[in-house]
Amino acid sequence: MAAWVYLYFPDMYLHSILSGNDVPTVVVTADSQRVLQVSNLAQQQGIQVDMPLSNALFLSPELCCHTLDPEYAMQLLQQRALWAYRYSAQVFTDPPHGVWLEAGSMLRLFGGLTAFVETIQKSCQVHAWPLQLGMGQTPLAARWMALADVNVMTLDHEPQKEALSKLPLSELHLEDKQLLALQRLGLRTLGELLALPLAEVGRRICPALMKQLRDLHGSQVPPASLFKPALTFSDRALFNHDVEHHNGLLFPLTRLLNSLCGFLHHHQLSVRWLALRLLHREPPETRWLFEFASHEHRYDELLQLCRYQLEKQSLRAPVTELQLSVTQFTPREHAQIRCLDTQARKQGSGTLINRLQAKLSTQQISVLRGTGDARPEHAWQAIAADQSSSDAHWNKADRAGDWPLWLLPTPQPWHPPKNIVKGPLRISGGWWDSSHIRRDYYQVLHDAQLIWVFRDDQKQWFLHGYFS
Amino acid sequence: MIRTHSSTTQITPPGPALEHVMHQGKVWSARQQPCKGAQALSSGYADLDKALPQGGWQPGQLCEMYPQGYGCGDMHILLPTLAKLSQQSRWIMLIAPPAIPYSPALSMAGIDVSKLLMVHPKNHKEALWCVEEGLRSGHCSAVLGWLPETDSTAVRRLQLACESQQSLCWIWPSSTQQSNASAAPLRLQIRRESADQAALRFVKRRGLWPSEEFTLSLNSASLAAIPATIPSAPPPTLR
Repeated sequence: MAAWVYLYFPDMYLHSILSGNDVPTVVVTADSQRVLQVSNLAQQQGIQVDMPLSNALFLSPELCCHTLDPEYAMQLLQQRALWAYRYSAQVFTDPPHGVWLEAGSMLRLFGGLTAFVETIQKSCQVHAWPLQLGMGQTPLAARWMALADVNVMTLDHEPQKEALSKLPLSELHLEDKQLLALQRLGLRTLGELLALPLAEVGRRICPALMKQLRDLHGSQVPPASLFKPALTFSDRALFNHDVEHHNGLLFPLTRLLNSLCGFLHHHQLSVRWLALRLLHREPPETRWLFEFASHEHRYDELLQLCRYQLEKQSLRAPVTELQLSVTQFTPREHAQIRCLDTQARKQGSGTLINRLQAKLSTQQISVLRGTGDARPEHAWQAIAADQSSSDAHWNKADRAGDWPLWLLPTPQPWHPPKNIVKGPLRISGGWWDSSHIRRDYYQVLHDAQLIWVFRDDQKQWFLHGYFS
Repeated sequence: MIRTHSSTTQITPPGPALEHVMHQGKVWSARQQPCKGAQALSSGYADLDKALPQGGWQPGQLCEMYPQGYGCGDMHILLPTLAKLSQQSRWIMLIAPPAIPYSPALSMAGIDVSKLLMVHPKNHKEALWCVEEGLRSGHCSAVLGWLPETDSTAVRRLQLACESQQSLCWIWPSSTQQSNASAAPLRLQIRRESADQAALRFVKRRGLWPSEEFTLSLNSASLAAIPATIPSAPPPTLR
């Protein structure tokens, strides 16, 4: 069954800034010319909507004026849509004041239309939001009902039709031009307008109105954009007493991670970093960023990683509140574990690096890569472990015994060798960059060890490696 | 020998003192046969395989290496094994290596260098943690650690970690540690004899007597000796 609910939040902006009822308050247009929204107290003093601001100030000199910030107004509506999202999977925002909810598919879950509407109304009361609610078989019908604040608690055809026909045209937020044209024709209610032939309405009054009237009975698509909640996770833990040691953070963090993992599971996502905000009694707050080498979504693993990261941190001051937020996610790789099990292993190798990086630091873990350069100092490269790639530049058969297994980071001065086993091996290169070398390398047996020494252009001897 | 009066031989339960010593792991009971979990991996050297108790490097058995200096060929005898292991998608972890592993030499020995994960811990405590984490994670096909400050307690811990995941592990303690007792099933002394020969001696072999010193020709490695099927590691478990 098609069912739509429209939530109209009258004077939403005004209510969001109203702190108490002691001062008459109005919201004015951005150019501060006209009054847009009027509080009850201001209304009692005779201020009306669309009145010039100067008149309003004349009526009430202590009037508190707020300029409408369109961006904030939009944010407010998005917040309402997010709130409404818990009641329906399809939420459409209708700026500036309304939200559509697709209700047909939710009725079974909530146990009927009445229960559904009551749940929404109750939640609104808790938030102290003024609400006008309307329902109908089409989005437009629901909207007009809400605007006119007519709440028929049924979706049956007859009562709906009757209620619709009684709606006063002046309440339906029609364009001024359209409303004027209708008033000139002597039409006051929607029923009178609906009685006219549609084509005539289009021709004599306004084609846009004709389209709306057609939608009233037909269209199931609201003339608005579907609301999609932004994909972020944030949760917080408030402490009853100050936490002075990072161990004390672990327990609340466990709960936060648990809820994060629920979120990740629900959306089938994984994370690469977590942002932690720690609030102290005195500002500034502390921000920690826990980064991982590879994506992770498992609770145990995240907890372990956080534990290692926490051990490395020290608290500047006692903590009163802990916030966890994640704004970037990556879709989970659908790791179907194959018979040969290579995929699972690959995922596992990331886990190990994650743990090592969490405990140590990123610089302490590296993977080797051959560069293909002939100069020993340049023949290898240590790269970060999370960007390893397998590329072997050397082929096996190429004089395997000629190279040492250990290379010293810098050659050490050495005395002229006595017991040369093999050599010389001339390595010359680097004329293309600044580090040009020309060396003769020898394998030398020295003190029951096979070492790699070389003589450079200046006839100086150096130790450069061990044949381990 | 104490004979019981009954006709059937009964095993007398060990007294509290003996139990205490056994609990500390200082007595090896013949019933604790080395577990036959995984197949031993050939070292690639026929002579070395002959000397190793299971005919190769046994996963789950820690090996202590005592070379005389860096240039003794202690890494050389591991190369065929590492080359075979690097074909797996798991890491070979090198913890606190004494110098830079020279990648052209490793590549030529058939090792996929991109599988070598080098870790440079700041202190001994971190190094031990890394070795243990590598062993326990199950994501490493082999762990090689240079731990000059290690003691017998740490070695026992590492041996347990090694056994639990049936990993391969070689550690290089300081040579002063050699005279102390150790929980490692294998302890190997290495000395270079000539340019292509090393003298090896197992100071300890679990299941066999310590070996005499024997000479190993370092050029005699044959990759063909290694079985085509690598003993499968247990699935990675999470702590």
